[in-house]
Order: sequence, then structure tokens, then C-alpha cells
Amino acid sequence: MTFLILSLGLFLVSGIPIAICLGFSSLLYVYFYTDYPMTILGQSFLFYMHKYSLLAIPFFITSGFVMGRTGLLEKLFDFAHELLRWVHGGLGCATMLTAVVFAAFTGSSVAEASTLGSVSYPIMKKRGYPPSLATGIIAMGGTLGILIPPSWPIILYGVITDVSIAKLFIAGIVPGLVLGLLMIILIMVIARSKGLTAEKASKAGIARTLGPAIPGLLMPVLVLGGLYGGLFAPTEAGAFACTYAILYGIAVDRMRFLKALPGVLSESLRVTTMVFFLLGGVGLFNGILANEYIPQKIAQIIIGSGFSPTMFLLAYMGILLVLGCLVDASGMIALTVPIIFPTAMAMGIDPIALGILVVINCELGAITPPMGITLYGVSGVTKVPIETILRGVIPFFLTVLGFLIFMVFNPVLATWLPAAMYQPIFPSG
Amino acid sequence: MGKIACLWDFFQDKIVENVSRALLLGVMLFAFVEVVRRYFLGDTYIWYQDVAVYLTLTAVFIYFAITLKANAHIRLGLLVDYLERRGGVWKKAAATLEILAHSLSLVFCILFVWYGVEFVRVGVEFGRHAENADFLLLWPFYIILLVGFVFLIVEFARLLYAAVTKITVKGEA
Repeated sequence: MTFLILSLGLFLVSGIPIAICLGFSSLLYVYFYTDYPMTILGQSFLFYMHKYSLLAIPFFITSGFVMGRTGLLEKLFDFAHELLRWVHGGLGCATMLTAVVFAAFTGSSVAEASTLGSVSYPIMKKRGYPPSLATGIIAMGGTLGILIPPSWPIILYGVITDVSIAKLFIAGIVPGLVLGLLMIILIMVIARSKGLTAEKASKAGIARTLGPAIPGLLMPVLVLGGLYGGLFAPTEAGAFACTYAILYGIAVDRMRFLKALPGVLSESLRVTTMVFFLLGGVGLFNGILANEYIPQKIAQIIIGSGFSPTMFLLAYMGILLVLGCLVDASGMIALTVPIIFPTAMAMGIDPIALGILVVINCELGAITPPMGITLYGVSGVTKVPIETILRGVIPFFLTVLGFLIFMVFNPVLATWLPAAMYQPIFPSG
Repeated sequence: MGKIACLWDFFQDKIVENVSRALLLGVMLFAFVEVVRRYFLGDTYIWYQDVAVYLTLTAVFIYFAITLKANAHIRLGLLVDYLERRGGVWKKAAATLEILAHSLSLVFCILFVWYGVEFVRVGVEFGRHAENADFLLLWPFYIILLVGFVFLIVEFARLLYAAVTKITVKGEA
């Protein structure tokens, strides 16, 4: 076990892709410390990849990228702006509301933040929003995409742990919406303190912008409604979202959209391949861990040392917070979940609540430097320096951190909805 | 050498990339059609899920190297970045570390392919097929996985060559 962890650490530090770090340390371990046949490598690499549910990842990632190119987000933003003109910081609140709705059909925080940034930043800048606040709102809004279903980190967690992805999706709804609401309240408070006054709402404006926004508003209703109504599985929901987005793009802007489609597919393939390659590495590493009973040994040590489940969760969240500064969501999940999950189960922690906590932590990781990919996405689009964005992100970061700690003590916020929706047909007893 | 590199880039960017795109789009539309078929016609192909999975895997496997070229495979580059920022001798240390990383990655990919050949042979010998699609033999996909790793070997070798050239040219200067 020491060899495995040490070699993994050395490979990680030298800057090798994480998937290869996981794979290479496993390969060396198999060669030097076991008598398993080396064909185990190919077999383990493909372990998670046979799963049909995994296809939801490319589908939802593609749907997000496609939607970003169709101009639908602009229409949603216009509508949200008209709707929230009357509150302090209405423009910022509209950005956050658009992020919540857009999160329901994209699984990627970078895609969401970049699109959101290109749409809302110029308007916020024109209306006198300080660049730090404007970009902070956009970065935070983008990361909501990780938690509000569909989200590919949730799918990744579900695939690795074999927890129902549909239940995880449902579990993400309430924390996602609460977090969205908290962000809107926070924006209103900051806007008031910065003297960003409310504007006059107009019914005509709302009516004018509602029509073009309907296809965008309809999408989450159809995708999530179909998913939770039992019409389709998560993968099929992804295929539906994607086809809907492509058909909408063709209907609205045929030639320009078709020209952009190959580029969109390439963007989606890059993210998908990164996730699948990582999953191959996790398969290899996890195979060794399972065969050598390493998670069980770790669980024994932790339980034996008198850790309570809450203390264990807080410690794990702390580790993830640090790790979030170094790797992105997929790395955070791939490097820790295979080791931590069996221990958490042995301690009686709910697997769904754990998944949501991990994903909220991934949100924080997306906005913490130096690896906060959302920060770079927003900086790339808005041309605002990372340091300025960081200043704006701090209040949002602290709010999410507070919410994360609250969730550790109150996991019911994530578990009650799936429990209510998945009642057993034949109650036991 | 330059001509071979150009040919390789053309092969990856124009052929492999377009095949992957077409497969991804095709699988998506196929999955959508299956949803429609199931709910409106009450019919579904039992083999559809397996075919969708393996076609997507094909698109992903052959795309491994393109993602590497785009520097999109996640890695923990903190130490290398830090050393590079410090400049001077440390910059050289960062370059050396980069060479080490590419070399180790290259060795892993070669070993994976080396041991993978036996994995494919076993797959062919036992005639493994997909769970719900008897006609879908798995060994061709195992071969595609190895092809993806061969593409990675080429790309890592190029990265290694570029890193070594960078350090030697700078050293001479």
C-alpha cells in the first residue's frame, strides 16, 4: 500500500496526466507485488466504461455547448433581467437566475460561465457594476451548473460508486435551488451597499422577452420532467436535451449554427475524452484497491481511531477543499472517492448525501486558484484579470462554504426529495 | 521529419477528429430515435444500448491523442508552473521535470499496449461479446483501445522531442 501511494504521489507531483498517474502506479504494483496476469490492465481500464449511464456525460456536455451557440442564453437573460429589474442589483440577480435555468441543460461549469460571461458582462459593465462583482457573479453562476442536475461530476460520482444517477440528480435539486436563492439574496445585499439601485419593472418588457425565452424555459421542464416522470433514463434525457438543442439551433440560425456544430462537437469530445481517460485510470487504481482490500483497511483504521461520521465528513471536506486548489472536479472525484467511499459506507454515511457534498466541494474547487477552471473561463471571455475576479468571488465562496458546512450537519436537505420520490412499492415489515 | 509531422497532424485533425465527431453525433441521434421509438411505437432494439456504448467508446479512444495535443488531460502542474515562474536555474528544473513526465507517460503507454496485445488475444480466443448484443464482439473495441494508446505514444513522443529540443537549444544558446 505504501508503494502504491508513494508512487502515485511522485507521479502526480511530476505533472503526468492524472489518469496515467493512477494507471502507472497500479501497473507497477501489479508487476512487483502481485501475481495477477497483466491482462488485468486492459480489463480494469474498461471496468467503468461498459456502463450505459456513462453516455449521459457526453450528451449533457454537448447539449450545454450547443445551447451556448444557439443564442438561447441571451434570450433567457433578457427575460430574467426584465423580471428582476425592480430589485437592487437586478442585473446581477438576472445573471444568477439565468445560470440556474441554464444549469438545467448543461453539465459543464466552464461552458456555462463562458457563455454567461459573454452575454451579461458587457451589460453589467455598462450599468456601472464593478468588474470584480460582475465577474464574481458570473463565475459563481457558472459553478451552479455542477450541482443543479444534470451535471457530469454527479454522473462520474454515480458511475464510480454505483449509486443511482437519477436519485443523485434529484438530490441535487433542493441544494442547488437553495444555493441559487442564497446567491441572489447576497447579490441584492452587495448591490445595495455599492449603490446599484433598482430600476422600474415594465409589464410590456416582460411580455416582449417572454416569447423568445420560452424554448429555453421549456427545455428544463421537458428534460427534468421527463427524467423524473419516468419517461426516460438520465442517458436518454441527455440525448433528448442534445437533440432539442441541435434542432433549436438549426431552426433559429441554420447556416451559422451548422458551421459552428463541428467545433462544438470537438469541444464536447475534448471534455468527454478527458473524463473517460480519467475513468480508465480510476478503473485500474480501484481494481488494485479492491483486490488488496485497501479501503477496508483504511476504514478499520479510521473507525478504530474513534472518528465520528461528522468529524470524518468535515475532514474529508477539508481535504477536498485543498485538493480543489490543485485539480478540477473530475480529479477531485477520481483521486478521493474510490478510497473514501467504502469508509463512508462503513460509517453509515448516506451515499447520496456524500455525493452532493462532494459536488458542492467541486463547485468551490472550480472558483479557487490556481486550478479554478471557471475563473480562467470567465477571465478569458471578459478579459478581467484573475485577481479582480477572485476579489469578487470571495463573498460567494464564503457563502457556499457556509452552506457546505450546514449540509454536513443537515444532509437531509439532499436526501429527503429522493426518499420522497422513490417510495418502496411494498413497504417492509 | 517535418513532413511526417504534417501528415500526422492532417491524419489526426482531419480524419480522426471528423470520425469521432460523426460517431458522437450519430450516437446522440440514435439514442434520441430510440426514445421516440419506445414511447410512440412501443418498440426498441435490445442491442441499442450496447451499440451506443461501444460506438461512443470508439470515438473517445481514438480521440485520446487529440485531447493530449490540446493539453486537456488534467494533470497536477503546480510544481512545474511554480518552478517555471521562479525562472533561472529553476526554469531548467521545470523543463527537466517536463521531460521526465513525458518519458514516464510514454513508457506507461508502451507497456499498456505491450500487455494489451495479450488482452486482445484472450478476447479473441474466448469470443467475448456485448451483454445484450451477441453479434457485437468486443475484441475489435479492445484493438481500438490499443490504437488510441498507440496514438498517445506518438503524441507523447512528439511532446518529449519538443521538450528535449527546447532544453538543448536553450542550453547551446
